[in-house]
Amino acid sequence: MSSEFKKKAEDLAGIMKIMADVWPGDREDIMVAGARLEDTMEGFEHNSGQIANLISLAWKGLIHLYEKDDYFQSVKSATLQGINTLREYAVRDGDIPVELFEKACDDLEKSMSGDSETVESMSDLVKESGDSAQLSLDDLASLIMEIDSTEDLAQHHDRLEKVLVTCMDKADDCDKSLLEEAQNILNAGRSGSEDPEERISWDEVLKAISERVEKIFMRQDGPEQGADSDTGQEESDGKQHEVADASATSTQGAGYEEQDFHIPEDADQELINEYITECVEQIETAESALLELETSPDDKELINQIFRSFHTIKGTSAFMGLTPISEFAHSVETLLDMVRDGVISFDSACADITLDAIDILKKLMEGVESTGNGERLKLPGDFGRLMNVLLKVSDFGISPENALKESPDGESSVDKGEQDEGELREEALKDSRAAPENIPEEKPEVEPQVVSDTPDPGESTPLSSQTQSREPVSGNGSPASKAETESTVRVNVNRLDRLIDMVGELVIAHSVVAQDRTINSEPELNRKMSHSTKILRELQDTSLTLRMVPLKATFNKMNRLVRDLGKKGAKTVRLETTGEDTEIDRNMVDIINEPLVHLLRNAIDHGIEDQESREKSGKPGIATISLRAFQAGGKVVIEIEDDGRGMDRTKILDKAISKGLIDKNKKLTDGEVYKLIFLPGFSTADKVTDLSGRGVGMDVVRRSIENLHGKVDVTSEPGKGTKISLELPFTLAITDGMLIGIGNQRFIVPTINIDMTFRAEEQDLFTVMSTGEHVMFRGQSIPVIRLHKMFGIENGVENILDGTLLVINNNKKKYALLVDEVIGQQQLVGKSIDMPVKMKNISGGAILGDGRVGLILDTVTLLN
Amino acid sequence: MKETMDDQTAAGISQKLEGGKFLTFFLGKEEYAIEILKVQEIIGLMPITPVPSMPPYIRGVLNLRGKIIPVMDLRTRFGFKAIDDTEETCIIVVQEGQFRMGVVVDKVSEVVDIDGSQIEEVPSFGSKSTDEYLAGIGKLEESVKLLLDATKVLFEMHEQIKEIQSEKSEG
Repeated sequence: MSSEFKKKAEDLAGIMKIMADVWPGDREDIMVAGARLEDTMEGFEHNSGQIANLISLAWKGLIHLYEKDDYFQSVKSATLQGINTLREYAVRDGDIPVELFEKACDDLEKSMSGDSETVESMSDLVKESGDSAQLSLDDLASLIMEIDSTEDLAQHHDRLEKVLVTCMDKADDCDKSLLEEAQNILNAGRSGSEDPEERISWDEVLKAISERVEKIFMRQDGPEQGADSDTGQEESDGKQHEVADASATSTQGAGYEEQDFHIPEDADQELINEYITECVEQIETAESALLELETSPDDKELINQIFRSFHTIKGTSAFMGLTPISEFAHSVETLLDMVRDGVISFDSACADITLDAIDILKKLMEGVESTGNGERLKLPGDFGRLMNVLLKVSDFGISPENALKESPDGESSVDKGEQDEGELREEALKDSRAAPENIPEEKPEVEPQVVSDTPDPGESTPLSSQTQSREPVSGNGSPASKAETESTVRVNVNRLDRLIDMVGELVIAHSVVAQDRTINSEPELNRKMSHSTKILRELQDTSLTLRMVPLKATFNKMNRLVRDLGKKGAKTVRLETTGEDTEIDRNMVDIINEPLVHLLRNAIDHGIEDQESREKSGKPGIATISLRAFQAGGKVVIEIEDDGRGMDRTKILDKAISKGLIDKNKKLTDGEVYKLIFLPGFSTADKVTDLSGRGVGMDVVRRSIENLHGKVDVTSEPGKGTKISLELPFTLAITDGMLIGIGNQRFIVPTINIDMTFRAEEQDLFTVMSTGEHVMFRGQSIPVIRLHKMFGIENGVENILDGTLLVINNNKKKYALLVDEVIGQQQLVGKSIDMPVKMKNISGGAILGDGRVGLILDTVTLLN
Repeated sequence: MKETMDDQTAAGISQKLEGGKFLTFFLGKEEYAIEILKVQEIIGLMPITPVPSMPPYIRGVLNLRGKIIPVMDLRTRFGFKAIDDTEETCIIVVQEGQFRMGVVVDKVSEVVDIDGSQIEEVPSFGSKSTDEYLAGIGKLEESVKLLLDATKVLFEMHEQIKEIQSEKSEG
């Protein structure tokens, strides 16, 4: 072998090693392999078109692997085989039968188009390379996976055994014993393989083997290794548990015993975090689908969606070693399976159980998040109870309603039902056994990731490229479930914020350049400049949308809230949501959540009458609350409208007067009266209920909305209902500001706080008690604040008539700010200033067009 | 837990300085030194926006590549006579934790190694400011460097601010 060929052969072997560790979740190495392949193949002497063809095919294979999930395993093995053939060619100095090339090319082509004989090519590789170093447990795992999806199991027996034996050669003692077990199971399964009746046991054999393999994985590398190959494990794992649980529960009986559970010592914190994010997403998906299901219980697709979510939670939990969670999810899954198969119908009890289950899962996630490695995982109080309910339904065929009733103490009910239990148990058993077999038909189990269904540009699943299109959308599916899934990437928020910041800086830096005098005198430069300005503007627009997320998730939460609150208050309420696709800054989503909760609580508790009085007054018995979101004039408006009794003007006024909040003789418009409800401590409720009445809620609403630089508005019509609209800016990142000048300094006033700017006339001015200056503005006297005096700025305009007055409206308190001039309006990126000492009357800063810092006035504290 | 312990030591009353690399700069004829690890960068004078209701030694804030950073005039801070800015006047950006502060000095000098054995305690002159703001005195062969207690000088001013503000409100 020539030295050049020798080196090439070594390089190719190296590439194969890299490739062996590539998985759908970890494909960075493909790039490395690709680069090395290119290097190696450069100057590769060959005299046949076959070789060139194979090289280019191997390339295509790598590209395929890097870009797609489809047929990942088969393309990977075919590509490996192709590279191996090239290596053989190098090793044998080109003395290699042409057929080998043809076969490698063929396989590669086939695999990429999707119809390859994967298992064969895989094991061919095994045979041909004969190099045990190439064979890893990963290969075994992928082989098992491939067989798993193939119908004809028996013929793969030999290959499986071969890989097992090879693995055993290099395994250490403990792994070896596990592998030996696997081999024994394999051989035990062989005897029956001729008999078609025994096929099912083949399934069991495979499961048993994959279980052993998984154990080795867990033992060897801890969670990290698992993440690389989680597809295979997740699937096989899920199945094992179904089988295991089915047999366990059948012997165990109804009572679920709570046991102490500890988070595994060696759990990878990063992995746990990812796990939690994913599960929380799945829980949310399931929850919103559940609520939808309540209104359209026959929607198969919705059930499937919920089922998938629980299945994913189960799979990943089992993978993380969080047995209680996976068992719990499994029981819910069993219940859902019964619904899907029509064994039980999806009634309200069933909905209650599943929604409770979702709450428990949420708590469990919080628990996992706050519990350290090796510590005991605290199971939520309801865990055992609900687990028993679930087991009763799934194993004993007790109807969800009865199971829920009997729930607090499970034993007695079981005794009662003992006689006719035999039959039921058999049936229940059949069901839970049926579950694992149903799955592959119902949903694409072979897919690398069980994906979440809601499109959520802000928060995606960690492994991108979701293949939503494969799932059939049933005819009566709701519009929401039909929405297209966009492929998304999960990005660290800090990095995103940094990027958005930097784009903002770039825009400002650019405008500094653009304003330079030399540019205006050079037409050519000017033209180029305006071109880059355009691009920059687009860049800025795009970057600002990066952080925007639809309100959908928030609205879904409200859906659940209304359902629960309605039940508590014994009122039937329907929540209508529109415009949930309206987007809002991610940072604002959490903040508006609380005000919305308060407003909805209020609507249900105060606004909506009970069914009887509704019907008396000729309204439909079921009340409707509309939650709307839309864009209007650069703002996002969220409206909450109910069709309840409306607000009682007199009652509010009386209450306000009795509490001394307003003057008795003051005449107020309707709008002003309704706004009184936002005062702290104000409540017209006759009694404080569980829902509301303490008078805190509306104050919270007003304050959180004002913190967001938003506005609250109330309109109400007695007997017809109340509408509260929240006006919010799109994003917190950019505020509209008015640039004002005082002396030789400039400040920024948030535009949202400015009612009006005007020049005062002599006759409008007067002083009160010869101290405070006031100005008449639209028939109202408001105090004047001389900003230059307050800030000690020299050269400020002294005469009010020479300056401009800014009418600031803040929380119903108005005052006029005397400034020299209004320079203009500007969009600004608000920034905090880390001053070691608290700044007075300054809320932050922003970079102005000329690159200098402008200070943003705090309009709230100015008055004090 | 660990963090708070570190914080405590950082805020400790007389923090013993260890040797290392220092950046030295001039205020008038005196040469001061600050630990180089705390120095983020040195920039020339740039437009500073004054901030109202601040102690006189806070010159204002500046835009450092999009971050807004407060700027302190060290002369004023030490109660020296103010002088006009020159070509050599520059701003040292000092970072401590999340806080950053630009420090206006007359001119930066050099980076020197000062060994722990060369650092002596600050002799008490009876004058308050010297005791308080210096962490030690570096005695090198050719010169004496006054080692700044950066944390105290630049980031701990609450007490004084309170005094100033109460004085103001009284007056």
